[in-house]
Amino acid sequence: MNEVDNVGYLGIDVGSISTKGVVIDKDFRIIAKTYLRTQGQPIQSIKELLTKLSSQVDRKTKIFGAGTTGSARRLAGIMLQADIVKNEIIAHAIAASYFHPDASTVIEIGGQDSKIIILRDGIPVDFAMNTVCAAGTGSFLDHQATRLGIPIEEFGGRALQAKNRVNIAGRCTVFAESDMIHKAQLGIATEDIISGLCDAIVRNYLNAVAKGKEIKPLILFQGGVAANIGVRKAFERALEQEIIVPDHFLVMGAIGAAILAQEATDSKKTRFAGFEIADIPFQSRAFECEGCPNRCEVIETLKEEVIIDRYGDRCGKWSEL
Amino acid sequence: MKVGIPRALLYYRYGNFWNRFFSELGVEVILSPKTDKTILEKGLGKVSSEVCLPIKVICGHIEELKDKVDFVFLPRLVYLGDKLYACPKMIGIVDIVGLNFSALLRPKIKNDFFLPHFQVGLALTHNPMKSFLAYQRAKEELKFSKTIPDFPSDQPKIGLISHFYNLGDDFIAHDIIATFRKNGFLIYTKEDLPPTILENSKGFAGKIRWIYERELYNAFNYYLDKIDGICNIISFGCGPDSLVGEIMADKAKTLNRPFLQLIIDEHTGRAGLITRLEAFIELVKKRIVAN
Amino acid sequence: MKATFPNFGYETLALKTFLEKLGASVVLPPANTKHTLEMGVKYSSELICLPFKITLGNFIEALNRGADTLFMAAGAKKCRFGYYHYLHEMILRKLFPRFRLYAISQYTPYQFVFEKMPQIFMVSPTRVIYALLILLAKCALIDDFKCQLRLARVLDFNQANQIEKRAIKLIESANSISQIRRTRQEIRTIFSINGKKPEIKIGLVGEIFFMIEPFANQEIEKELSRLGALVVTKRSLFRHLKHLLKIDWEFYRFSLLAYKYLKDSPGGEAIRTVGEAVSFAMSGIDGIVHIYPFTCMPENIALEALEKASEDYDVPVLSMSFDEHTSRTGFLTRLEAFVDLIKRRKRERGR
Repeated sequence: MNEVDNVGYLGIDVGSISTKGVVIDKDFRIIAKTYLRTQGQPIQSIKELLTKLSSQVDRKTKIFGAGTTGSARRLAGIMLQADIVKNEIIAHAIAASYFHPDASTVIEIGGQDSKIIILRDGIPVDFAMNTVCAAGTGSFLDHQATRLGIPIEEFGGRALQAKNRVNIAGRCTVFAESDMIHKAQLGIATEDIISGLCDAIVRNYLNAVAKGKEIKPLILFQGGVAANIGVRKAFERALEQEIIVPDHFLVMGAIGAAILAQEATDSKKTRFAGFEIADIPFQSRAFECEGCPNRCEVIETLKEEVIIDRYGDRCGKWSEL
Repeated sequence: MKVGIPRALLYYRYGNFWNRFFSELGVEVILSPKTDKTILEKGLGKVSSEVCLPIKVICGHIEELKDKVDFVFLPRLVYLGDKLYACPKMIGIVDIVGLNFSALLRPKIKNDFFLPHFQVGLALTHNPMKSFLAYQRAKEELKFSKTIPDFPSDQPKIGLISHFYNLGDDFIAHDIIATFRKNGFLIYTKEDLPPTILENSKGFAGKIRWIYERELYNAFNYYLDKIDGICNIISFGCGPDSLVGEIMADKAKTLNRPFLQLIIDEHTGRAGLITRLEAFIELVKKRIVAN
Repeated sequence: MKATFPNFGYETLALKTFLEKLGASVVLPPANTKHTLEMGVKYSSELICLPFKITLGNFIEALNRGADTLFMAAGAKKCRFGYYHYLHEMILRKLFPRFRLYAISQYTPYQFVFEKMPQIFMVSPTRVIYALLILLAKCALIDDFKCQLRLARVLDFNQANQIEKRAIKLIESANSISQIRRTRQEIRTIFSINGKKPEIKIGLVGEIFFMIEPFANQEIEKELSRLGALVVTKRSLFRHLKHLLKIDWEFYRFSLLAYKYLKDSPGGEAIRTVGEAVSFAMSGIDGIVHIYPFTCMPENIALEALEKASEDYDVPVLSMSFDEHTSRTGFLTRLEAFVDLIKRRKRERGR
């Protein structure tokens, strides 16, 4: 190991709505941190993210390990030649228990899904994830904010100005939205409706996602929706406890991936391809296999026109390159 | 000594019997209040989100009672008559509640009502004579003798085909019943029919081994050609209804009778529900005029 | 007679032999695919559980292939399954005018041997008993094969898939007791491979159709082994048949183990699911995965009991329900996280 080099670990969390990345040093201090919208183009976002990260990192820092997580973790892992590709549940748990070793519950609400992770003595022991519906997740809140013409940053704050409690039907986006419109037509103040929506989201989360889980303190609230003070307050009302939003709540998944990368490369050399891959053409394309009526959608990733990965087939005909 | 009875599920059929039985025993009964939003919410987190609304409702009622009584009375109806079963969830929910709450009185009813209730009486009063007499006196409340209802020809008539624990619970069915009433409809339910009709075991009804589902199907068949339309209310996640409801829908369609299937759960928005009902009511009224 | 019945995992092969031994020519439905499910979903009520939709799809595809006699297990009790065939017939009649559907009650073995089968196939009860013996032997063979396959998949995933194809060919052609016995030996030999030892062991419990039909459960066994977990189950058609003949001794043990949680059967296989899970937990398994159709009545009751058992025995349980909307990505993410969690837990405890 060259003494002059600073050690860095890269973690990337590519979700459906946003792409997050961090570089941490060997003591897990954050050197660089970036957050941007995925906008349906993960390859573009990953490249952009890498460019931004590399500009924040000084030249002496060398990446000793890279990890990816999030729904596009596989794609990101292949592009980066990451040392570890881990799903977001574990990544969030790892980061949470690093910053708050006494945390027992992690509430994570992201763009498309919500999760609860139960930790005991810093080890993830149980989790649950919503499976049926996207109501109560970041994209739904975004949509409602746009519909009401309120910037998303102010959306949660408006809920705190509510004077009355209003009930909004919670589970399904369709029901919730039509209920909100209905209530608005009755002349109820927007603030009250937003506050009602926050309560509905929390109620739905506790009944569907966190059902049967023992929610013990300390409770952390991570993911994009944690920025929403209205939802946070609604959680505090419902659980009658303080909820902690970690400083880096937006990038906790990425931090977890970076920590995992450190674990994975312990005394091994990294496979990481370097920040330069931001300039290499990557392409991802899908086709429907016609081998059987299953018609699996196979997804290929190409690096400089060469196929480097295929997945999505059930039978293994394509994924065995 | 206070015994709590949840106002849900079987209460809507055997409530009178139980009230009488406990009052004859000299035991104070605390009945949970009518279902409301708070009660439902207490029940929601207690049981898997996939189960039907009535099960979530009863869990809420039990939560409501827990701290106020010495025992909660939660009978388990396994079967009646010739092994006609209650639904799996009605049987299982007793154990599920029992997993985390032990002050339960759970008589197991397998056709015979006497022994399980006698045992409950004995456990509460330690007096065999009193328990025996309490059952004997309350027994008459178990008779559900009804006469066949009238079908006046000058009024629109609607059959509400649903379980008694759905129709009896204002929180679940009030809006539906009120909408039909407001539009001048006479309402017929399976509870209005005598046992001779409900217990018919000929045809497909005989093949249904779920006791209340057989009653529903028989009531549906009986009303089909006597009234103007059928509204079948199913709670989402109800297994037996998903099956028999499909068969009823098919039969009504084949015979060209107005038939509306409403699927309800705790998220059902009131506005949407009433819109659908009003459209159906218009349709039924138009048919009456045309005929 | 061109007989058919719904696909039932590897056990389809045994059921096929059974009908052939009775003199039927069997037209199998094509292997379950998205198309099967699409057909099933198209013609059934949205509210009904997934096994109904898949089996309906099977019948539609088999009838299109020229089958004219359908066999469906029945036996109406507390679970919806016993009533499937009424709806199957009602729906299929509108699509296909000419076919017969025989509903075979599970709970009347005596009638099955001496009345129902002789009537349908015009054979003597002795022949039915002989066919039944072959069926049992072949189911036992498939049971054995699946056990070998599960281990082999963890040892060397790709090689196991190759051997699987060879083994299935062998099973297909084993049609007499002596052949079955020989095949059993052969399969054991071809499956003896080396590889990395499984790190963790996961018990699979749940509703029987989901336990047996890989298409319904998103090939959960394959996915678990890919993640390095050895899958163990105590459910198969062989055991189910033994249970129906009341000679499945282990079932009585499961009932006892489940009694702490469920005092009365809520129907279906809830008691068995809970009993198996408790027995796994007592034997020190690393984790339990519970699979069932969305809104399944008995399994939703079992689910609550499993949650409690998970606390009592300190073993992680993952319950997953499936319907036609189940997202494969979400399913894989949860499975992966669960396996990860168990591995971490095990390593942590090992220290």
